Amino acid sequence: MSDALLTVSNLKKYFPIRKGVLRRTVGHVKAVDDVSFTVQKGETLGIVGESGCGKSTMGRSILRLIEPTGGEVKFENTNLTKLSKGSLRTLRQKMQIVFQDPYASLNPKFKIGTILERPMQIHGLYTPAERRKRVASLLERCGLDPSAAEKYPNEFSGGQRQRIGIARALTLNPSLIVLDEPVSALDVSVQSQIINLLEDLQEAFSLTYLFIAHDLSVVRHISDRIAVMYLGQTMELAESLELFEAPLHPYTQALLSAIPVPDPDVKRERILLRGDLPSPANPPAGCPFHTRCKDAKDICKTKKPVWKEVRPGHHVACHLYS
Amino acid sequence: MNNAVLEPSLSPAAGTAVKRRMSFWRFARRYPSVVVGGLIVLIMVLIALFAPVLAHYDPTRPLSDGLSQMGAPLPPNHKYWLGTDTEGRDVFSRVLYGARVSLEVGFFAGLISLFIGALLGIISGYFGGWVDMVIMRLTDMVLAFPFLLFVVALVAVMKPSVTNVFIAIGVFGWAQMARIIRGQVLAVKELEYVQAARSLGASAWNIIFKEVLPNVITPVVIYLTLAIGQNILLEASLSFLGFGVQPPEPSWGNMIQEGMAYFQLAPWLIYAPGLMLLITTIGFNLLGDGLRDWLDPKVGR
Repeated sequence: MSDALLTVSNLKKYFPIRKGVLRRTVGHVKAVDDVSFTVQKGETLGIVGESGCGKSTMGRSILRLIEPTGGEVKFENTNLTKLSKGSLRTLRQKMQIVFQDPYASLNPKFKIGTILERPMQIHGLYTPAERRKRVASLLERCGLDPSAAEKYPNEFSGGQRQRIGIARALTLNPSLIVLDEPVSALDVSVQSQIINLLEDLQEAFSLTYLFIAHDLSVVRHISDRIAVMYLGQTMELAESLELFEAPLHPYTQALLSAIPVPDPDVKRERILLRGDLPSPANPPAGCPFHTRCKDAKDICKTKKPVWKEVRPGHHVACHLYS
Repeated sequence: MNNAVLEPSLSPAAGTAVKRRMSFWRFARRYPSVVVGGLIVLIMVLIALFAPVLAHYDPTRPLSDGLSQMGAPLPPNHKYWLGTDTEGRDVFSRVLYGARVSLEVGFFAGLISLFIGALLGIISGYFGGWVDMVIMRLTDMVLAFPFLLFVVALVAVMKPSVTNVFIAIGVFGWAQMARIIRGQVLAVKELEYVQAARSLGASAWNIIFKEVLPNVITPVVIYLTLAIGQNILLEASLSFLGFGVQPPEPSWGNMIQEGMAYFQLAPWLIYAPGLMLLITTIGFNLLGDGLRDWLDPKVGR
């Protein structure tokens, strides 16, 4: 667990806000603002945060599906952010993405077999016969019957489609898969099946996952480490167990206290977040969380806390720990 | 959506026929306008193709017994089914040959506008940015420009002819087509399967041809069908005004124009080409509307 597969440093993605006839830029939505972390080979890094905190934008700018505004993404030893379009396309074999909405992620006009063979065609891998064999074995590996290759996406349920989406991500033998809320569009009963499948596949193909979700209990189950995001910034990053047992950041504490406990006898203090999520177009000065933080001090309103390691492997950005 | 509950049964019984073929009569009852419109269009195409076989007389040459002793056109009779015109030519033969011009212009002008419109619309929609800006302002200009004025200018520079009618209609029609296609591309390109293709390393043109085009083709076909009907009407208007097909070459437009002066004396001179024009346009419009109901699920069944 020492080789970094992915190193993200100071990643930024600002979306310009344009107004008026001349479309002048009047401001920026800071969807991802100065995020840094590393992902080790073979681990699962969970990313959690509320809707609109920039999780998905971050996942996509890491893969350069969205061009990042600034910062650096290093994959193995290649700097993705400086790569030409052509070499990036070749390198895409190594990093794949599974999308949230299984109804939108498969082209309705093509049979499953065509959809799954396409990645190999694009990169000119294997002979046609080998491709078909590979598609069949991948479908089986993902818990579907190989006959699925002859059907169209609309003949499958959401969970089955998500399995197909996962199979597609595997066709090129990637080492990194970004899972962009892969289960949040599915029924709870199906969610666990997909999570289990993802875990099996990770072991079988020694995959590294970047698992984006807004559901802490889902992330807890699958992640080795978890990063908590708020308004485009990372608030806390720690080993999964440590984050759940000893959360440091007040935001993490509030999130954790919101997880329902299935035992009615357990009395627990619930930390309620006051107010709404501030607009990312106009984030609060200082610590972005100070407007809703129960422990906010004066310094939080003016000075942005630095991201630092307060315990081994446990990073946090909060003035309470400086 | 709700069949997600059935998830554990991972492979639904294979072998059951997936696609049910609808019988023709059931199809005709559900989408009557496709069948009726398609039939009309088919008949018109056949008429145009086999005009030389179907016509008994040369449409451009006055017939020796084509006029009455007083020099008036003959009303419909057993020899000249739709009568003769003021020059003594057979109206039936002229109407058949007129179908050729109309369909030719409708179809080829449609293709010209489809080609230009698809190319510009896709580039505009997919690549966006300043390219999109330039192309869209260009279409605005074309759409805002008065069509007839353009045609008059064109004819003033070149001779009036069928080819120029193609060009005029095609060059004007692309703007509407480009807008429709751009809109479709904008909607499709944000879908996750297009993003997925990007993440798989597909190039922009590969994505356009494999992912985007198949999903915008339906509305384009529908619009093309409607546009052909429009083009036929436009050709008729241009020929009516004398900018299009030149006499003695027959076109429904110039036939109506020629017959107009004798309307009270010889109404068949207008009725015959006018009805053909009406039926053909209705046919294309029915077909286009029907195709939309059939192929575009968004309108709902």
